[in-house]
This record gives sequence, C-alpha cells and structure tokens, in this order.
Amino acid sequence: MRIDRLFIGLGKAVAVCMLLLWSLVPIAFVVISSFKPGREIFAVPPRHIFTPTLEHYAALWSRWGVFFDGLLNSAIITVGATVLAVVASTCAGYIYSRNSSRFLNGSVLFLIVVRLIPPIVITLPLFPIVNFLGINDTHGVLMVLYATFFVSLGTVLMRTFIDQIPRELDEAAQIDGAGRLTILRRVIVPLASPGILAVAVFVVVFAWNEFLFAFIFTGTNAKTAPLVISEMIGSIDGVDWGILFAASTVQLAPVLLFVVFMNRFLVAGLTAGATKG
Amino acid sequence: MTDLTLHNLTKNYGAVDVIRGVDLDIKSGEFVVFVGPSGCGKSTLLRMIAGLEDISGGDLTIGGRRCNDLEPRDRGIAMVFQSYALYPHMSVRQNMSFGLSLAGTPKAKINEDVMAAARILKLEPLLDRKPSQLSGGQRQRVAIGRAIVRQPSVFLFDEPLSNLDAALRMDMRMEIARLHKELGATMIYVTHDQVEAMTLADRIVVLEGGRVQQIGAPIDVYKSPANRFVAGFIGSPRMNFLPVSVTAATADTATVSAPSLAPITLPAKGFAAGQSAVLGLRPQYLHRQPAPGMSARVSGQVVLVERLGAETVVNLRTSDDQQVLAVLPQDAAFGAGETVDFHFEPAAAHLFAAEA
Ligand SMILES: Nc1ncnc2c1ncn2[C@@H]1O[C@H](COP(=O)(O)OP(=O)(O)O)[C@@H](O)[C@H]1O
Ligand SMILES: [Mg+2]
Repeated sequence: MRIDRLFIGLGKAVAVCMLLLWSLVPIAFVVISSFKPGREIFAVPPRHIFTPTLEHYAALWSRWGVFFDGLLNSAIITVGATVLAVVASTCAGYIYSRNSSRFLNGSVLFLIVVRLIPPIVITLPLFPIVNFLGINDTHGVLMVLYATFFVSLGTVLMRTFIDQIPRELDEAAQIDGAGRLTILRRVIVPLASPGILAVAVFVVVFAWNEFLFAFIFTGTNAKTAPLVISEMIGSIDGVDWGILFAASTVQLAPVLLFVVFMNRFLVAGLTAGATKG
Repeated sequence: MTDLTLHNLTKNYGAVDVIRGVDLDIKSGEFVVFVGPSGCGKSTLLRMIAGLEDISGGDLTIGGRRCNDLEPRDRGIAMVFQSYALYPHMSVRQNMSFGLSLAGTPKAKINEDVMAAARILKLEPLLDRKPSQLSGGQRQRVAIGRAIVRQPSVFLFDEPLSNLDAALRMDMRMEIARLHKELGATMIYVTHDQVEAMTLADRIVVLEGGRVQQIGAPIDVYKSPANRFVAGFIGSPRMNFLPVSVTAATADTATVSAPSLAPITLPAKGFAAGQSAVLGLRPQYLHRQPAPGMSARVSGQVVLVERLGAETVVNLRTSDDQQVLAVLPQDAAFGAGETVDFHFEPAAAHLFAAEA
C-alpha cells in the first residue's frame, strides 16, 4: 500500500516535470537567447552564465521597424476579432440557453461538427470572394475570419455558462420591466463574465499567433507580427538569430502575460458544466 | 388595490392541457391562496397571471383591463419566487431598486422608496450586502422588499417559504400576513402547504388536475369540502374514507352502514338506497368517550399508537380491512391489538359518491 502510493506519487511528479520541461524549455531557450551576445547563442557547450545584452533588441528596433507595424496590426486585429467573437458568442449562447426548438437543438450539433472541418478547406474558397470585394489586406478580413472560427466554440461555451444562471433571474428582471437586451446586458453578461473572459482568452491567443490566414489574406497594410517573423527567417542576408529571438520574445510576452493573468478564468471556462448541469 | 378576474382561463403545452378552464373573481385587497398537490397547475396559473406564460384561452383582467397580451411590467404585478431569484451580482439596495431605475424613476425617489420598503422589512442594516452574504430568511425578505418597491396592485407569491426551515417558515408566514394588513394590496399566494393556506387566506382555491375543485373561506372548505378530493387534501392527518352502502335515503339524509359501523343517518343529498358510497371522517372528530349527540361509532383493532405528547394518533384496522386514524387531544395509552370503539356525531361525517 505505502509503496504503491509512493510510486504513484513519484510517477505523477515525473510526469509533471516532463510536461513542464517539454513546454517550458523551448520558450526559455528563445527568451534567454535573446539576451545573449550573438556569438554565445549557439555555443557548445551552452553557456549558462553570460552578461545579458539588449543589442538584439536595439537591432530589431533599428532594422526591422516593420515588425512593430506588424505588432500594431496584430493588436488591432486581435482586439477586433475578440470583441466580435465575444459579442456574437454571448448573444448566440443566450438564445441557445433560453430557447429550445428543433432547429436550435439540431444546429448545436452543427456548431460542433463544423469545428472538425480543417479551417483551410473553408478558407481557401473565400480568397476569390475577398479579392472580388476588394477587402484583401485589411484588418477587417482577419477580424471577421478569426472571430468566425471561434463563434461556434464560443457559443457552445457561453451556452454552458448561461445555462447555469437560473431562468428565474430573467423572469424577475422581466417583471422588473427589463426587455431581452436589458436582461442580457444587466443580468446575464455580469453573471456570465467568467465565461466571456474564457472565450476572450481563446480568441486572443489564436488571433495573436495565427499565421496561415494572415499569410493568405494580408500583404503589406495589415501584415501581422508572425508574418514579419517568418520574413526574418527567409531574409537574404542570412538569419540573424539574435534579432529573431528578440522579436519572438516581444511577440510572446503580451499573450503570455495575458494568459497568466486570465488563468483562473480559463480554467473556469474549460471546466464549465462539469459540476452543475 | 385592484380586482382581478379569470374567465375560463386555459393553458396547454401542445396536446397537454395543464389549466382546463379556471373561473375566479378576486376582490381588491383580498388574500387568495392557490393550493393543491404538486403538478396540479398552481404555478402555471400564477405565471399566466404574471405574464410569464402565455394564456392559451380565456380572459384575464386586472383592474378592469384585459391583460392577456400585456407585458409583465405593464400588469401592475410583482412576484416573489420560490428560489428568491435575487440578482447575485447586485447589492440588496440595487436588487430592490432595479425595477425603478429601469423605469427611469429619479434617484431621490428611488432612494426614498427603497428605504421605506427596507424599513417595513427591517432590511436597513443589510442594504449594502450581496445576496450571498444573507441567510435564507433574509433573502426572502429582500425578495419581498423588491416586490414592495414596485408598489404593485397585485402581489404574486410562488411557494415563497418552501426553501426555509420550519421555524423560519412560521415567522415569515406571520410577516406576510402582517404585510398584507399593512399594505392592503391584493395578494395571490401559491402553496402546497395547507397550513399556509389555512392561516393566510381570505379565500382558498383548491386546484387539482388544472381545474378548480372548490373556492371558499378556509374554514368553510375545511368544514364542508365540495368533493372527496378536497376532503382528502385539506386537513391533516388526512380524512378517513370508509366504503359504505346506503340502506335508506330521503331528499336530504342518507342512512349508511358498513361492517365496522353501526347504521347511521346523516345529512346528505342525492343518494338512493342500494348505492355504495364513501363515508368521510376527520381523525379529529373521533372520540374515545361518547358525548351527547355522538350516536355513531366505528370499531377496529389498534395497529399503531403515536404519542406526540399533546395528542395521540391511533391507527385502527377495521374488520373490513380499512385503515382509520383517530387524533385524540391528549396523551392516551392503548395496547396493540386491542379492539376499541371511537364515537362521533353523524353530522360531523361527510358522504361522497363512490368512485366510478
Ligand atoms: N413547459 C412545459 N411543458 C409541458 N408541460 C409542462 C410545462 N411546464 C409545466 N408543465 C406541466 O404542467 C403541470 C403543472 O405544472 P405546475 O404549474 O408547475 O404545477 P404546480 O406548481 O402545481 O406543482 C405539470 O404536470 C407539469 O408537468
Ligand atoms: Mg409550482
């Protein structure tokens, strides 16, 4: 008995450590390397003690100004996509939670199934349409696209959250004189805010990091930071790894901070409905 | 203060009839209690009055105005829910003022009304708390306070006390009775608890299967139940029912007998000799010692004796295998298996038609 438990405990500890190493080592490597003097980045054996330098960040600023334009574009698109997805998911989740009809029940299944189709299958045919409308290379296209990808998951998530808010609250508000929109704004949204934040985290992380659709639908005006980073790899005068790591660190930092900050809401979102129907 | 009329009100969910034609006039300032077993349609009927359920057929008027298609907020009603339904993210003060602020009432007036309601319900020290920081009884007072602030002409209560423990329920019951006196508003109150029904109501409406079984003052319903369902539902412990056969009948009396029952003649209309019928006897009307007028008696074997101190509940089995309960108003000892007689006044018994 004792021994068994010891082994299980040991196993758990090892598993957690492996998981941590697996996810943290690459990030740590990138972040630490961005502060190393150029020659020491790939030194063998690796140098763990070094004098930190900001030279790569300075070079990034002076030589890759376009990267900071990309960051701004990424920020605009991320915020826009998040707002769109959150508003649409919350409204739809509310409708799904409070109404029931054969059409609604059937379409929930559709919402889940549609997530299983590889996004590229739906997206590529959009290319000519986007061109035809002349909205290629605008922030709006990516905002709508990114939001669209998360509205289905967001709706299912929001419905689960809103299902936990007793209907009597809607009814009490109705008697108090609130219309549907007021009920949504003043009762449902405040009480479902953990769910809203969870959906927001999903969209933010996706939109901030997304590469493929940004590559297809943007060129210069709305080029996002991940695209610029990929250009650094392919630049003619060879890859300057220091600058690349500095750029990656800058790209990584905001979303990492955001996720750490929102962590508890994210967990709440993932376990929604686990304890209460 | 407003009259309310329900005229042939019906409600169906698809093919399921839930309310099957309810007629009711409620006078201004009256306290009416809907009572009936679970699932009989009490809540549905109340919610139709509130405007939370559509009315399938019939007319609802409040204060002379037809309300079938009015929004809840335009009906002049306020409702207190079983689950309290307080907004968890708002303070007590905000809960109580939400309706007024939506209606665009000036801040000063809102404050005044909320304070007035808080004073009536002794909620002043709690105004800045969240519902999660309140006890069950306090939450229910806030829910009532929220209703009062709306200054409705009709208060609707849906089993407001059923989530409270017994002692608190009694306190709140008296508080609601006091409120009714103070405010003088019309109140409609749903409960399955007959003690609440008996103590609070000016009139009770007994519902079963979506139909009104009887409407009347509580004591009238208790003393002269309109049918066997009402007789069995009102009164605790439940009325005893004994199958009997009618041996003779006149226009307004019937003589009945059963194996455990010497023939008795009691007031009853519409029975004929040779019919079978059901005799209803309230446990409280059975006595160990015959008093003048108690010419009838039922006999059986003692099966179980419950001595509660102030009263004793005796469970008899008659020779024709019927169960009879008697409630004696003091402590009394009986031996199990003993054969005993209980005496009653024939006029205290009720005669119902046998079930088809
Ligand atoms: N949305 C609904 N669809 C179908 N049947 C319903 C619905 N709501 C209530 N009912 C039925 O209506 C009947 C009355 O319900 P209700 O008014 O809640 O009863 P009570 O409050 O007296 O316990 C019940 O038999 C219930 O099953
Ligand atoms: Mg009910």
